[in-house]
Amino acid sequence: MFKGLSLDQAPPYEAPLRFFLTAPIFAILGGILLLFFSVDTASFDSFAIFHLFTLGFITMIMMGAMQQMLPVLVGVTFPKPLLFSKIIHIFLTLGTLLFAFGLLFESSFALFISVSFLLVGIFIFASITLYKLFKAKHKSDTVIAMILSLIFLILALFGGSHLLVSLALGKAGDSFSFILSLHGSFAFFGWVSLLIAGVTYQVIPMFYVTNDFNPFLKRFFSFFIFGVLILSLFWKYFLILAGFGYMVFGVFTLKAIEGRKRKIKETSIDFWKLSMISLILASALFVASFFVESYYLKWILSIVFLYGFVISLICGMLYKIIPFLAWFHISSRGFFDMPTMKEMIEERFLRYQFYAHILSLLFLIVYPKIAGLFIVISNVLLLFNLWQAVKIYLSYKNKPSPFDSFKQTG
Amino acid sequence: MKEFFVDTRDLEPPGPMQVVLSELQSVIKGESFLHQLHRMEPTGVINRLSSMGMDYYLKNSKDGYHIYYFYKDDREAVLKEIDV
Repeated sequence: MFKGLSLDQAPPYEAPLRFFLTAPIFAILGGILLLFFSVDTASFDSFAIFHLFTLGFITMIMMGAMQQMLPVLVGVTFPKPLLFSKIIHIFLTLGTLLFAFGLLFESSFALFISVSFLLVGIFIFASITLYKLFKAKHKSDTVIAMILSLIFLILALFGGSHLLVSLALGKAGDSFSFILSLHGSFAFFGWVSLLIAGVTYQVIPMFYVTNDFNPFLKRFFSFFIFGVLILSLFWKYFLILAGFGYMVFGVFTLKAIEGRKRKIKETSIDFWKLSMISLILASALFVASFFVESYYLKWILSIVFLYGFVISLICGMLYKIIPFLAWFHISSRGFFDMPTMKEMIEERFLRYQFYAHILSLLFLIVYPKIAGLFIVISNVLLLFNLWQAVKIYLSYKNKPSPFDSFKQTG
Repeated sequence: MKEFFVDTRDLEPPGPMQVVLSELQSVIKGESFLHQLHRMEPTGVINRLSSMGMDYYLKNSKDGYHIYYFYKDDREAVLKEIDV
C-alpha cells in the first residue's frame, strides 16, 4: 500500500529556520554599526562590519539552506538534525559576534575565542556535509557545485583563521596580503558563488516554472571555476576567467528568468533580476580592477557583489523557500486548510522591503552612513515578512494532526 | 500494466508534488505505474520514494524529464513496458 510522503528524511523546520531568522538580526546589527563607525576598506571597523554580513548573514543563511537541501537533493540527513543545527548555530553566532567585538574594540582575547568558535563550528559543518555529499549515489550538478563550494569554504576558513590570529598577535607578516586576497577570492568566487550557482539550477526552474538550465553549463561551470581558482594560486590573473565565467552565468540565469512561462509580477523575481544584473556588473568591475587601480572601483565592486548580487538573491530565495517549507511541513501532517504559499506573506510588504533594499544598495555606494538606516529598515521588514509564514506554521504545529484522529477512529 | 500520466511542466510548487502524491495513491502493485512529465528532476519526491516502498526511473528528453514511479517489485515489468 502507498504510505504517503515520508517526513523521516526531512529535517525539522526549526533546524534551518533558526539560521534564516538569525541572519537578518546580524544585518540589523551591521546597519546600526554603519551609523556610528566609518568604513574604509582597510580598517578594523570595516572588517568587523563586513563580516557581520558575510558570516552573520550570508554564511548563516547558506548553512541553514544546505541543511534543508541535503535531504531533498541527496536523500540523507544529518545525524540528530535539530541538535546538530543548534550546535553549529551557536558556534557561528558566538564566533561572529566575538569577531566583530574583537576587531571593533581591538581585543585579542575576543579574537582568539572567535577563531576557536568559527574554526570548530564551520569545520564540523563543512566536513560532515562533504562526507554526506560524497556518499550520494546520484551526484547531480547541484551536488557537485555544493561539494566544490564546501572545499572552498574550508580553504577560506583556514586562510581567514590565519589572518585573524595574525591580527590578534599583532604580527601581520609578508604573507598577510597574499592570504587576504586568497581568502577573499575563495570565499566569494568559491564558497558563496558556487553554492549559489548550484542552488540556482534547482530553485529557478522549480519556483518560477522555467526551462531547465543548459546541461553543458550545469555540468562544467563548477569545474571551470574550481580550476581557475586553484590556478590563481600560481598566477592571480587566472581570476579574470572567473570574472568572465560569472558574467556568463548571470546572463544565462537572467535569460532563464525572462523565459519563464508565467510572467506574473512578483517581488521575489525582482530580487533575482537585481541580483543577476549586479553579478554581471560586479564581474565586469572585477575584471576592470586588474587593469585600473582605483579605491572607488574596488569599493563599488565589493558593494555590488556582496549586497547587490548575494544579499538580493538570498532575499528572493527566502521568500520562496520559507513559505514552501511551511506548506510542506503543515501538509505533511495532514492539514489542507492552510493558506497557499502566495498568501503566507503579503506582497505589499515584500515590495516595501525591496524598496528599502534598493536604497541600502545605492547609499552604500555613495554614503554608507545613511545606508545603515535603510539596511536596518530593510532587514526589520525581511524579518517581519518571514515571520508571517513562520507564524502560520507555528499555529498548526500544536494542533493534533488529522492523521491521528483518522488512526484513532480507524 | 496500466499507465497513469501527469504533465506537471507548467505547474508552480507545490503543485507538482501535490499531483504526484495524489496520483501515486492510485498506483496498484503489479497492476499500474505513474508516468510524470516535468521540467526538472523532482528531487524532493524521488529521494523519499524508497521509504514509501517505491522506486523510479528517469529519462531526459527534449520535451522534459519523464519520471516513472512504481513499486519496487514492479521495476522489471515497468521498464519492459516503456521499452528500456
